[in-house]
Amino acid sequence: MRSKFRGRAFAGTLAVALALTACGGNGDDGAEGTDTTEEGGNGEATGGGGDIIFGTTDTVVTLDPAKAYDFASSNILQNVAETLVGFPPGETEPAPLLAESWEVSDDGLTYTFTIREGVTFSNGHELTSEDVKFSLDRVVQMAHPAGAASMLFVIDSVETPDERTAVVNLSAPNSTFLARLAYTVATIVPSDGSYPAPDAAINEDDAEEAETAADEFVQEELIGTGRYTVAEFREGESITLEANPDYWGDAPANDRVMIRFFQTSSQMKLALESGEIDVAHRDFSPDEQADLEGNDDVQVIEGEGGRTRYIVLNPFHDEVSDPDVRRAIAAAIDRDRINEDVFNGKVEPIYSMIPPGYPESRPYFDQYDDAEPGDFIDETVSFSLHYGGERYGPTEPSLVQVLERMLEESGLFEVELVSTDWAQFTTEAWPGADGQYPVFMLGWNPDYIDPDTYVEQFYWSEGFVGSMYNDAEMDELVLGEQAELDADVRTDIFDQIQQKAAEDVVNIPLFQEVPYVFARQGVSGLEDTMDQTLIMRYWLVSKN
Amino acid sequence: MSATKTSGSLRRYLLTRIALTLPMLLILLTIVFLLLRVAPGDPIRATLGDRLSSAEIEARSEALGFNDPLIVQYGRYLGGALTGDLGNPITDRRTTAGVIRDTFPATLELTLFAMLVAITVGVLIGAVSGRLRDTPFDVGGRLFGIVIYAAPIFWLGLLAQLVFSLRLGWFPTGSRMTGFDAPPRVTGLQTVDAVIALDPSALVTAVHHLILPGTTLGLVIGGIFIRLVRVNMLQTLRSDYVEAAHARGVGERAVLFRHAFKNALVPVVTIVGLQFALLLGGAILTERVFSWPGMGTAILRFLEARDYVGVQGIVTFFAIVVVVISLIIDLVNGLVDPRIRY
Repeated sequence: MRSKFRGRAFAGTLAVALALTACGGNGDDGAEGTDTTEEGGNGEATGGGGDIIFGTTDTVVTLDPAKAYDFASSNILQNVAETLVGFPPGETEPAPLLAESWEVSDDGLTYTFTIREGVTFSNGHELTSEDVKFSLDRVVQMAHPAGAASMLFVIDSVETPDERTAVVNLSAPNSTFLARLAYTVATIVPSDGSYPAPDAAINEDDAEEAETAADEFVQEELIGTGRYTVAEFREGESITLEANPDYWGDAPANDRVMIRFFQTSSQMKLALESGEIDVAHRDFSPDEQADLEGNDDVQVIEGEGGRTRYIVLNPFHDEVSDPDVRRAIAAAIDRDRINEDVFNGKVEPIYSMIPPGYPESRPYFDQYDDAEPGDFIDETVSFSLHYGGERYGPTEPSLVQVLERMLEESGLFEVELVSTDWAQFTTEAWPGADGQYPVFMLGWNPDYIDPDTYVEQFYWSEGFVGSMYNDAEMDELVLGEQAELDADVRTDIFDQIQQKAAEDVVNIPLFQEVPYVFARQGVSGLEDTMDQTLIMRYWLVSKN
Repeated sequence: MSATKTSGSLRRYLLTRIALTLPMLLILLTIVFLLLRVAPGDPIRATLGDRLSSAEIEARSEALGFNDPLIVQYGRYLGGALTGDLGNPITDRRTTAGVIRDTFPATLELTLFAMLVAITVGVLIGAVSGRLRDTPFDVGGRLFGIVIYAAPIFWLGLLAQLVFSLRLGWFPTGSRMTGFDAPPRVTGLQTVDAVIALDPSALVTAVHHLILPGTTLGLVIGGIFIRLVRVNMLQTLRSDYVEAAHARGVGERAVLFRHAFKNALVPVVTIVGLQFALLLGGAILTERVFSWPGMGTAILRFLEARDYVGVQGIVTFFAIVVVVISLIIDLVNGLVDPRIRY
């Protein structure tokens, strides 16, 4: 009798458990939208667009603006925190954000910003000009080697004559300064002690020591003024953003956003097809894209101004210190072959680091299409070609293999392919003399809408890639175009820069990707955010 | 033997077994330490070697103590292992202890579910196969056990995703959650956290996500248990005491469940325990296929990045877990089987 009871009790428990799980449904559970609207702290309606789940194969490296310089991290910062100015969707000119207005002195050296009133950080601290000074000083003083502090090199000092006024003094006129302030490196954080900051600039000559010193001040609890707050960050799994009810401006079109991190694009594709995620952004292979394009449940939104891909050659390494060797490498590259063999014709070959969408672009690298490596060298050169795994998508291994093949087919190169985890890659590849890789692969998303974003970091000796360059003449050209306020003169300087770049061959531009985002039917708002800035503005996305 | 003498013998066994754990642990940690040290190349070169100048390698080796005498490194390693300081991975913001804290509950939850499936399937089919020897059920059960064990688990996982997730839409394709149902983290075991939070919806979601990866993994492990239980069942059914029970007129069901089945399970308990310990090291392929954020995923990421420190830390933790589970298994066996004594 006793054993009968036990058996029946177990069977009953199992039946109940199975019944419970069968009721669980699939995919969309937990991601239901609500039709209710609530009044936010500023009187604007919030929510109503549901909860949106994004998928990506990118990795969030950090949430500290002083250290963030990768797409995924910067995108979170764009949505949770804010800068003085920003690029509204579809716009190419900086517009007021935390600064409601500004004045520029005639000599272009002084920017006086009027700080917006009534803005609070997510920890309750009220925004004042002191926060602006603190944030900009902090980034410049930390000068984290992995971050984008070099973008603010032109700042000489920041003054705060009153709570609503921040005066930024530049060391030289810079036509791109406002656009730079829109990038996440200039994110405004609270000065109330939430963020540690060095007392003085960290000036370590060695990159390793500089990074170690700067890491002591890194703060990973993101406190911003943006439309969202970080509700939860599960490293390697997901990050959840909740609409900020106290946001000073227009509320997001959704209540919550979750970004799920996938290890492989195939997993992300499965999740999108089964409806577990609403949007998949970065990156699918060309085959996966083609398959999704044939799926009636999935919509494809094409964007503008995609990521550019290029090869960096570090002249500090003996293997490629000779310019003729670098020219020979350039001559071995067949961009059309890369396009067909790796990307099914879905990328656009480029012959300048400034992509063709800009009128300043000049395709000087096309001179190597008619040349052979043997025109420049006659002895075999061996080097290692480094790449950050599938950092730039699942096609990366195929891309480097095709490059290896092209180089070795010339008979003048012996190439070893080396893959490294991205987090490690970024600490080792640059800067210049400390960079560990002779030749490596990189990609570039523009920081702001200006051709300078495709020039400064690559050709200026204090840029993270330009540190390989270290050329006084090029430095003068780069600083010249930044200081030049006349558009025609500036275009001419860009011409000179691109011409010299094609001769010195420290970078070899390869192609520009077409940005796509894939979403379930019923998701709207994505077309509004797929502009040249490449910022994924979660607040525009809603679900029916 | 008197009860007093029996309990003294049991007590001695238990105390001896517990006392032996520490030297066992020390030996295991020493083996882990030596294996990683005698591997070609030093740890820095293994992680960063072809990308650093000799001077830089020397500087980093010095900073991380890899130039210290081996005995000093050993002492530091043991001290760290025994105090929970498993180092700082090169490719992760967290300490190794932090990585384990974040990922081990996911692996534990998957393992527990998989073992539940494995034991249920393995014991049921194995016991019935043993009882119904050479019947179609027995043949089918054995065949199932062989095939399911031989099938590559990543292939099974992908197949399960295609059929049950994509085609039928019954289960999520992977991960521990899809929406925003994750309960507040208390233990890290989402099923337990859901119960603590009194959130039935979260419990349902957590179980729902466990079913596909847990069942896939559990079936493969169950394939081992089917054959093991069957063999032990057959041996037990042929034993003298079972024959004696039959001769005394004990009913068939009583013979099966009170005599044969229980005794057939004794060696299975040991295997189950060891298999459990192995799974806790992270079912790497299963976690990869199902995007399960457990220790298997973590160690795979460290391996791909050649993050020596991360790999060592997780392997050390795993070694400690295996020792503890072995201890538990031996204690349980000692309690269950009076013949197991020192």
